[in-house]
Amino acid sequence: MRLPNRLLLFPTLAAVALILAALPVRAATPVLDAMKEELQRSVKLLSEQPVPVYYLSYEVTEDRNVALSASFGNITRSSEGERRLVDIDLRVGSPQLDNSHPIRGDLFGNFRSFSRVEVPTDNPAALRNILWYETDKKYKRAVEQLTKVKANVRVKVEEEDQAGDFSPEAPEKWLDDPLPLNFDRASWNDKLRRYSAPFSSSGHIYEADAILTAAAETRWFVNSEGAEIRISQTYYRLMITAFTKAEDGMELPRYESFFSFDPDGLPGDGVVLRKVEKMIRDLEALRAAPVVDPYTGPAILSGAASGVFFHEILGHRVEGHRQKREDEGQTFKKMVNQKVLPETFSVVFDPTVRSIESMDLVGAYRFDNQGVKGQRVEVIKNGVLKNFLMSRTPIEGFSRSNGHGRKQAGRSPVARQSNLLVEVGETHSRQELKTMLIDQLKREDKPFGLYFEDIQGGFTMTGRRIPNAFNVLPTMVYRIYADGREELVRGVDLIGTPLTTFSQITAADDQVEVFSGSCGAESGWVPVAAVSPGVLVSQIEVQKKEKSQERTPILPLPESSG
Amino acid sequence: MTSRRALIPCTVILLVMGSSWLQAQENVLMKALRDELGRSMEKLQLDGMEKPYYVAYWVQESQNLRVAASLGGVLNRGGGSSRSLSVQVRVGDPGFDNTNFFDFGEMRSGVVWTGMPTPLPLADDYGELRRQIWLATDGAYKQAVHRLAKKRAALQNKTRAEEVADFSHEEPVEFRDSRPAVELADAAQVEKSVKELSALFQEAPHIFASHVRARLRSTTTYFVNSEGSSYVQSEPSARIQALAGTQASDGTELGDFVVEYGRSWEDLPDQNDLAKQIRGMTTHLDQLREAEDIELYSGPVLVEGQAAAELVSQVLVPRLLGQRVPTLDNPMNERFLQRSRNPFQDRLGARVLPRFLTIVDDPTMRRHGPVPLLGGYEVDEEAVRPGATTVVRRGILKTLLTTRNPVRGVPNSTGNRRNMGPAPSNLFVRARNGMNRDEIKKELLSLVEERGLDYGIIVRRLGNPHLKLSRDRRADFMMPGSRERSRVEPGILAYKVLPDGREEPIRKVTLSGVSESSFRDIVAASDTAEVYNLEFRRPDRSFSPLFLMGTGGSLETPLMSLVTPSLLFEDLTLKRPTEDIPRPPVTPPPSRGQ
Repeated sequence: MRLPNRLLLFPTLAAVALILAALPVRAATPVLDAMKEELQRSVKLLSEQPVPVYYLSYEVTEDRNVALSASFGNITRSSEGERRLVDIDLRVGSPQLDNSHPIRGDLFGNFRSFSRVEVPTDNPAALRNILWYETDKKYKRAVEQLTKVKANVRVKVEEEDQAGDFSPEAPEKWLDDPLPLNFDRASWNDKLRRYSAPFSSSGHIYEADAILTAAAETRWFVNSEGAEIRISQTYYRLMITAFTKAEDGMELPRYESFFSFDPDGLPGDGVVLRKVEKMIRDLEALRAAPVVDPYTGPAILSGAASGVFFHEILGHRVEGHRQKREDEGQTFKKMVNQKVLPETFSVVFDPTVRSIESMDLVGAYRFDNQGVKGQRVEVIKNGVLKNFLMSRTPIEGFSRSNGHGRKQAGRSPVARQSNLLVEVGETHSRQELKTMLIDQLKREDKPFGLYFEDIQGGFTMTGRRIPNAFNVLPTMVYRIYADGREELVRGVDLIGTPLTTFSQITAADDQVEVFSGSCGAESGWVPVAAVSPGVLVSQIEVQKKEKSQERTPILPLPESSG
Repeated sequence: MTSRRALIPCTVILLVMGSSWLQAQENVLMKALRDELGRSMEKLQLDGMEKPYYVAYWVQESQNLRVAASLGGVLNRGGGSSRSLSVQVRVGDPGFDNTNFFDFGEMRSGVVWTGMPTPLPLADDYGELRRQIWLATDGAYKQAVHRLAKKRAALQNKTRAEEVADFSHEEPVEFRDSRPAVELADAAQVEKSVKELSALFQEAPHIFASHVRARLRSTTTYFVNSEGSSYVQSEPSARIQALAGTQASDGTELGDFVVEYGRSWEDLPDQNDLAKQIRGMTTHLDQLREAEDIELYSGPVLVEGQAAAELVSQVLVPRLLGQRVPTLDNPMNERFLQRSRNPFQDRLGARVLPRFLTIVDDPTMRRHGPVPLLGGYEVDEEAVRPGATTVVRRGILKTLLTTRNPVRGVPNSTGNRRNMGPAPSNLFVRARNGMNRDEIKKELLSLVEERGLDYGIIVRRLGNPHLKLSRDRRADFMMPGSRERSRVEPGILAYKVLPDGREEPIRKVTLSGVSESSFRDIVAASDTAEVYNLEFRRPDRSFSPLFLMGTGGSLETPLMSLVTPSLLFEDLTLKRPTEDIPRPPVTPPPSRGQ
């Protein structure tokens, strides 16, 4: 399951850190030098072994973070932390067949392991010692794994995809200065109090939190091909969440999230407080809204909803390694150069775009986790499928990485999404889209269509053992009637299977929105964005939302708390 | 270096917040708790359902600080403050209520999380405190009503094997901690110390992996219940640990640790003392790399000092706890869970130790001779005032350590509820007619001679399941109650004792098949006892952590002190480790101190 769910972002940001003092801008690169020296020493020694190493890379990821939360006008938590993890990619065999090759029929062997090796970045000798011991362990495991891989290849039927295990890439050199976390903590505590306070005016809102997470991530990467990279990025996210309950027990959440690479890029009080007021009004309205039954019919997806929709139905299915693994659905593998969307639609993944209309895109990066430059990838061009998202694991017909080998620290990289951009040549106004929907209602004699205004996230399954479906979790849904009336409803999730749904996308409007979230898959959580205009889908399906069976509170809100 | 300076301002903020809370806010927080408690007892009721007969609130205010370093470099650091509420609501009556029932189905529906702690405002806002207490109580009450109905349904067609009440009667207690709250030490100072200690391993190239970690906590618990009990109690703690690992020439993994606990950073041994301990550890690990190992030994074993305390902690302590196994809605699950039931619950009045041994738990003791004890407290989590509890008297099991959740044969609480269930505090193993050091070694050798063995064995140091660099993953998958497996960590320091009294070190040994019944074969104990401090953790392999979740109380691991003499076992089996032995490093380490 893959969830680009804004909420799920937070548990992973457990801890830390620091505010004030800017790190000195270092001309020297002691961490990189130590990594490089130990890498060269290891490669030399391990090349002399009976099973020589042919590739080695080290990536050190340093995370510093601060999390502040307020609830109904009061600070409830403040925590900070910092840690550094190292990931080692060590390969024996050859780029054609190495120890990373998936072993078929091994139920547990294909689970990518999670390692949590901590290293310091303030002491090169200490760093080298840990790199040595971990490399040595990794080498022994790699040799063992290669033996298993070779046996598996001989025993099993020939694989459909004969592409090798590792692509050649040019070594890159890049040096960012490590960025400090730099924001005014006291003033943010004050803001969070003010952003969460208005929710107490409603007697029906049971949870209301304003959360700021600030993180600075610095990554050092070296490999045996000569790459030397230090990149650094800060992430500031303000999240506001609140939920109420309908009388039937259904929990009704609203989320607003703002993201920026820079603390000053987050919106001002006016913008946030207007959103807060809208959330309160929405929640009150949702409590009274009717529940929708399962239904199929036409729908308009707002830009944010559409972004998540494309992320699930398309994005996860164009991740390169999924075209190769024999337990994957491989929905699009044989559809290269075929038309999958209307001619006016193109879908691009572009980690090099850092912002759109002054909104920062969280899926931007300069280098992926394999030291490959992030590249713009036109996956669908004028409706025709052209390309896949590639890590350094080649697939038939796509032998090179396009800089999408990504992971969370401690995991092994696979092809993952970056910034998904839905680009449409011919756009309509929102009103025109609505008219098109109403025309279809009249034509097909349907009572209503649906408008998905906001969503909290979604998930999809891409394997062969389970139905290849997706699920988008909306928070604000309206019924659009043939006479143009709109009515807020609740209690449904948007579901479907990828190919059927894809063939129903018909038109787009000019209201581009950005969804910035966090996406979880086998290589862990990575930040991703989805940018899309609103789209008209001629047929979607909704199913009932999972519902809490808990009633609303028995006693009224204490008087003192109103 | 810059970042170390940066830590200071944060700590200052924490401290300021800390001290401003205590005086002024105690009343507001306690008032909010009492007011919502009163309203809930009076009015909280679903149509046609029972009202609660008991409500209790715990609020834990906590500040923490942690830092870790390896070879002089910082690995991680962090800290934070939080204040959280947990609620216990009981419906029915003390004889039969919603507790002691567990439904695996609830985990899926997410209901079980209703009992999880709720974050509360750090600041003193009566209205907001009331709001959060109100919602948490509402959730806990509904869950209680729901569970009681399910429990009744599940038991409808069954004869209950054990007619034990669900909640014991205890006298109300009020307590206010008069000690000032402990302030966390200066983060920069802690970090400096941790870094320096971790750098000591630079002098020990044969230690392949090492780290030093410090963790400081300052926790104050506020408690009220509907029987009129209330308390405010502070439980600060400080821990520093150094872990080291290496491999012998054949690859056998060897590890050891230094750990010290205290109530505050200042309580911990000073830097020189810690450095000395660390150097001692690296020296003996180095020696062990070349030491010989033993294939198999079956015979008398003298378990001394730290090893005796670890052995008691790992094998005997879990048996001294009166931990109820809940009723389940599904008989198959229940049989499965019953395997984690403590066999000592059926052995009250039976002989479980030799006649010369007595075990007493005593949270009221503050010192053992000059050595401070860390397991004490004034009131337990349920506001029960504890006293000394003689668990085993002259070898006979008299009682178990219990909470207000009684077990058969122990109808009342011994005042041992910590970390949501029964836990030891200061546990004393006392021997009558103990032998001095020479006598007990002589006794070992005479047993060796009697058995016609070439040598006897002394174990002086045993591993701790939570203080090692690489965890044995297979152990985590072991089924509860599979008693035939050795649950004991390997011996780190063990010696062959030759008939002439000479000692030769042997490498890592596994103590095979040790169980609580092995303790009946103790033939002698020493006349002196050592204090050993550790954190109490519920055994991984029982399900108790799972079904204690959400019953209210502290999620933090409590400290305990074990005071144990050396123990001479007539018969133990020792082997060399049988797990897969990894190859030693194929490459030499980089040169250090560059």
